[in-house]
Amino acid sequence: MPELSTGHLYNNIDYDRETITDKTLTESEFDDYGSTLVDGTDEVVYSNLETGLYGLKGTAYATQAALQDFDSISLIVKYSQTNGKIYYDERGAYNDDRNDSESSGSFYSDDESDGLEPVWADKVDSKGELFYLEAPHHNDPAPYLNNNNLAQSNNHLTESDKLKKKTGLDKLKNLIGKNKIEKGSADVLNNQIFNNIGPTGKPNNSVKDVLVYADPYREIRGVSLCEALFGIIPGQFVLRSSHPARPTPQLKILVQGLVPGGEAMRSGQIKIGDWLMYVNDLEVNWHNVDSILSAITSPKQVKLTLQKSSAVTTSTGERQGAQLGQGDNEMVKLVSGEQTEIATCSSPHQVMYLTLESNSETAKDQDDLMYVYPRQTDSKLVEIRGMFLTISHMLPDVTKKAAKNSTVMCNEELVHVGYAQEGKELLVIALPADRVDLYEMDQVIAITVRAMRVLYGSLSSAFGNKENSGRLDHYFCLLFHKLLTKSQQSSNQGNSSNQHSNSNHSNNVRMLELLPSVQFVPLAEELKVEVDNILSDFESADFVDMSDDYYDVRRLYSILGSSLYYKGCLVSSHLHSVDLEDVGIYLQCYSILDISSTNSMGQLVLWKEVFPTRRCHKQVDPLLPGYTEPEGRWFLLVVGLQNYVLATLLEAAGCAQICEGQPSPDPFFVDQARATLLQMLSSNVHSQCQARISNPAGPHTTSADQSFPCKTSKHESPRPKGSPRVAHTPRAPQTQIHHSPRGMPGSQSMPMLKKPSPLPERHKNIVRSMVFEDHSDPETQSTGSNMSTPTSHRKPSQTSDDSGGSGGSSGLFKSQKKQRKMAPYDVSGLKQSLDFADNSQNAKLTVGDCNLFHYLCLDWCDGVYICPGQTERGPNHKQLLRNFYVNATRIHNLFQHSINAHNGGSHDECLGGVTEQGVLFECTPDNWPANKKQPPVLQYWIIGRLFLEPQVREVYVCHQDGAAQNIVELAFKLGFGTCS
Amino acid sequence: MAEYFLCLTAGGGVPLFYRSKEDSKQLSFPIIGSLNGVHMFANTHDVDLQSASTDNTHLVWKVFHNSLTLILVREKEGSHGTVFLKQHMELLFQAMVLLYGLEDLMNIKNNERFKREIKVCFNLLDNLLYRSPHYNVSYMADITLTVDTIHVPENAILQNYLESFVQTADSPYGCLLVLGKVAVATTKWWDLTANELVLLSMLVNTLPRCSSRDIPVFLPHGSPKVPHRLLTFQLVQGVEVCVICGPSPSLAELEREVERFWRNSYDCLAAVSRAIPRNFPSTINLDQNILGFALLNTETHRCLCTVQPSTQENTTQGNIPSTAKRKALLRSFYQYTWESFLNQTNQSEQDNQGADATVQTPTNHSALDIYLCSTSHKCYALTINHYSLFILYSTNIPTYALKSVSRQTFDILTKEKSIIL
Repeated sequence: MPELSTGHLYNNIDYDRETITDKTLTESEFDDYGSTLVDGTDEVVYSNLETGLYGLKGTAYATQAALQDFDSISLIVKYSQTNGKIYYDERGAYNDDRNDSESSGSFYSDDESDGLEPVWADKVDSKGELFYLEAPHHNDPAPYLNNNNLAQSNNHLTESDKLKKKTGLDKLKNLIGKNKIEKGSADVLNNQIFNNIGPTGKPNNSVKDVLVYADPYREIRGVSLCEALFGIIPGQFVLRSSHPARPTPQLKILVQGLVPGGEAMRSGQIKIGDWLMYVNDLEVNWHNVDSILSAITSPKQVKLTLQKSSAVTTSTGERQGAQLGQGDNEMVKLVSGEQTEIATCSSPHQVMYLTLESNSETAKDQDDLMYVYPRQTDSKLVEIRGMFLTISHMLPDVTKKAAKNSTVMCNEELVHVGYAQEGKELLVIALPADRVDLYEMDQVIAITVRAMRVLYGSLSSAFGNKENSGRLDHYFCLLFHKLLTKSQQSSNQGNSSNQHSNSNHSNNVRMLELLPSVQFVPLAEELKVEVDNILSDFESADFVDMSDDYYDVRRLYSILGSSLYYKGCLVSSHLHSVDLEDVGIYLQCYSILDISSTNSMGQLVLWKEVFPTRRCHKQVDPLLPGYTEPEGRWFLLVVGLQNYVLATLLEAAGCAQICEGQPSPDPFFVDQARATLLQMLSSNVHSQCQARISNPAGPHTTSADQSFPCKTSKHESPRPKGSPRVAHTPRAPQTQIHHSPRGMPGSQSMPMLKKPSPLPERHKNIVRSMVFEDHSDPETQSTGSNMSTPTSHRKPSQTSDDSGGSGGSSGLFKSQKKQRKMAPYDVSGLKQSLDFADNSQNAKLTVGDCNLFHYLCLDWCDGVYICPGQTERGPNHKQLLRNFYVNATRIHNLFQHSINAHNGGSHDECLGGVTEQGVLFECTPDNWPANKKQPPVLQYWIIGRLFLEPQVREVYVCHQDGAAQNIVELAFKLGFGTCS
Repeated sequence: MAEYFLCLTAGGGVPLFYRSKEDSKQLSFPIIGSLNGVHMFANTHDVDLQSASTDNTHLVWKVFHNSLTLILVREKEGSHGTVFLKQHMELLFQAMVLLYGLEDLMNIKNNERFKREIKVCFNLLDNLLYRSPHYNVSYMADITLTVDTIHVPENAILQNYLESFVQTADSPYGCLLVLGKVAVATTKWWDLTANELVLLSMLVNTLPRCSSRDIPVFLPHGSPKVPHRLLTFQLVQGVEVCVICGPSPSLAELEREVERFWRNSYDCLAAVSRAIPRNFPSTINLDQNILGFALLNTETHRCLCTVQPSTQENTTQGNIPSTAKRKALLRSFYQYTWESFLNQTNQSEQDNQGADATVQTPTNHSALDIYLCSTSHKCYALTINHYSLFILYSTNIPTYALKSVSRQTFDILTKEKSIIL
């Protein structure tokens, strides 16, 4: 009976270290019962346990070997418990009486450490709320499925666990350390410390000289001289010089790590994070270090001068893998709420919550100021807060409407101020006009008010309660970060061409961020069913003997529904659309979706009592007379893992127990949610989701860069090879994956549509741009792009409907009416359209350039939007997209009037009732050399269309001018697969 | 819809006058006080409160020459930002300058006297503010800052009449107005700034009808402090010839000349006054679905604008907006498209005025055409060089035809010889 190696076990724990982290089994202890318990392979462990010792319910969600591993580990722990040992993790608590949480808590506490609680346990605040985010794993694309690096990670974990005990380091930073697996254990250790000293460290500028013995003959392979000679692993950082004489930042050397047993470590005086200033009194920087050190040719004492520096920030060098940029780190800090001050933005920005009712007699100066962020109360905007109060108070008298926004010139800068009044209280948000225009200002206000209502019930309960201020700081910090810092980045991005483009992903698109809806990725039918099943399993709350029902206890919460996000996109939702919007706003406002799409998260657990709009703020006519939604309390549980986020809305009361006090997150539900996510990760759903997102179904869009007319003929030859436009035209699939920061290895193996290559495939490409893939059959994905796809799954065309669209002579409105009649979600509609595209093939080829560049479909009924996924496109396309969103925002704004009018609101005299708007743009390529002749001109339309029936939907399409009318009609008609 | 225009002294905040739309309720003194108060309060903190908006209304504040605080409350009319309001405010102030003189506006010594005397401006201000239906005035001029023109083939002949008449008056500034629309004018007249052109033709149209008049005007840009004389003579019903001149000749002298110079032009004058309200030659046939259009030349500040383009009005079909509604629609459409899409082309100019609703769009992407479909109408706007054409269609026109029809219309209008913009 071969013994299960400790390494292996530890490794498994490592896989699930978030759940079983801080397990404080020492190795010897573990060996003790590890040997009595198991016999080698995982399968045996599994079956042993299932048949014998415990009624394992692993089968419900253990579908793959990795998962079995995982579950058996939790059972091993339980087993040890039954043997009378104290080792315990929260999985062990499954079988405990649920109401006995105090007692199980005491179980935890009588252990030798706090390690057996869930890692997030100490983050739960007094109100029972939790916001816990662990930093991403980066070099572990699929840790749960990878069984190979056992020994290494074994070391890591033990080391880092010991370290944790010693230094009490944060888990967040701890995990960042995993980046450097190859460096050996001590290195990892160091790295963690290294990561800990940051901008937050205390300033200590003492300079010290250290003598080390450098031996150039001691050869160490493949490392820098610095490492070889001193045992210092160099890192680089940018010194922001305060010397006026030296304005340019310099790349300085930072002690990023110490080689175990190296000279530096032995000296004991060199600490990680020190700035290596001089070597033998020679000033060193990143560039000259090697030349200086190469001068040391014989073994001798070398004087190193170091400064304990804390003001420096690190710029992650290439050796860190370049995946985890400082920006990511900072983002994680911001999102996790660790840091609630953003890098000082010079532009004025302010949030205030003011009240009219202040006891003016006894009042102190700032009695009317209930909340303010940023905290400096001496800013100009805070000083003039009385003005905002007066304006919002007075305008209804003058105009009979509430004040919405105003513009002030403050410190030579134009500032937009948005208002939201609630009773006698007023929320004021001020943002600089050069970053946020008035359209966006209104959206910011709307979304903030909604978020506050959902999170706290009302504005006054949000801002009135001083306890909330921490959370509010967090919220507004992220909001400002999003609005001010990011827009700066994206504007820079436009200039520098070598940057990665995320710009057509929702991340950088302000319009989409400020919408209440989230991006939806329609999945293939089979996949969708599978995902839905996984979610349903979870939502049914039928955990058999782990569930409360089993013990005849009234359940704590009933699950109202859940929604699953992958990389910031909604994959599946079982929530009411209004609830989905609420959840989406929450995730959006706290940048959870952002984080989940750019980083893969270590672990995310959020728990918050919420006040869903549908239940608390909106009077909805009951569907059934006499039926009312149950009164109760609602809780939002968000669990994230890697790129997945699962948001669950829980209801207390109703059929569940009536909830009292401030319940903290229930580890059981958290684990079930995690298990659901793990199941997603392990099943084939994961890989297919990835494929879907990197290559979503739907019409193919082309890049604007390919569409400049000059390409076709005469201008082709004179263009010099080095011209910037040539540089980006070839886009092979490989480069795309390579460049994409989210490119996962798995996606390479997936069937990918061939990217259109610029010229030879032009015609095919034109046709392809309008082809829609059959959702019911994912296998056609690879062939779907080809017009020669057999027509076997196409129905015979239903000519009467088709002619309405294609004829066009009958006028637009007629065809629109027709569309309203037919169910837009009918799959036959899609098939029809395939047919239709086929029919129009000839016409299209003769018409020539009619390419679809981009589209956006907002479905207000489902609370989602659809747009093409992120693909690497040229700079001109990026600009086009920016323009697209800027203008779509305006059109969207106009449509709001029509929607209001449709819903029986006041009818705007002049621009009400608008159902379609189009703008024709003309653009010339970016960076067109000045000495060239006329730059080629591309004309394209941005068209928005509003459908009020059968459900409110907005579709925006961007296509090249000259597209045949029937093709454009078709684009709108399909709605881009908002099939739910 | 409540719309107000308030004027207060900048120093003390004493209300001088306010104009309101006829159906708006009166503003109480405390409200006027707080409207001004917020602005003054901000000023004392070195903050300039520029504008505020509610769902349907904009407010702007502005201090002119440290003497007057003007507050304008106006309906949004499709504009999301306050660019047009600021422009409008400027126009209102210049209207006051036109009739009252900059000198007196800058130094108000006696508030009571000022209150009495400023009443001369009210007619013009009201017209600018509320486009009073009593006058058949331009409905775009105040927002487009272009002057309405009327075009008939006879214009060429009338030009000669005008030139010779102006010489007699010993002035290079002369124009022939047909119900507030310029038929012909001398080159010098066209050299006046856009605001002056708009204000002058509006002023003549808003004054009470009479056969001849002689009023002092301060040209807001040309000579804001020294008055000139504006002489007008009615030639036939609705057609007036205007001359701006110095101290001589006297009204009586020139009145005698009018008869002599214009006697033979009667047929032409009758023809040009018949062109109202079509405003362009009846020989041009446009698409039947066009309900109205405005063709602007932003360089010469001229505008051809009509909401009754076809001679035989087909009133048979329902769902066609009334002419008043058409004016409003065209106006909103102009404001919406200009502010949101077209204005980017000359953003550099806008920057000085604090363009607040404009965002940074890529510089090499410029909007050419815009269309809009509503349940009651369709609109199309296009810009070519310094021309902009805004067309209002009935819903009968298919959307896909909008572009080609609009382009054709543009060609027809700009190629026509008798239309000189």
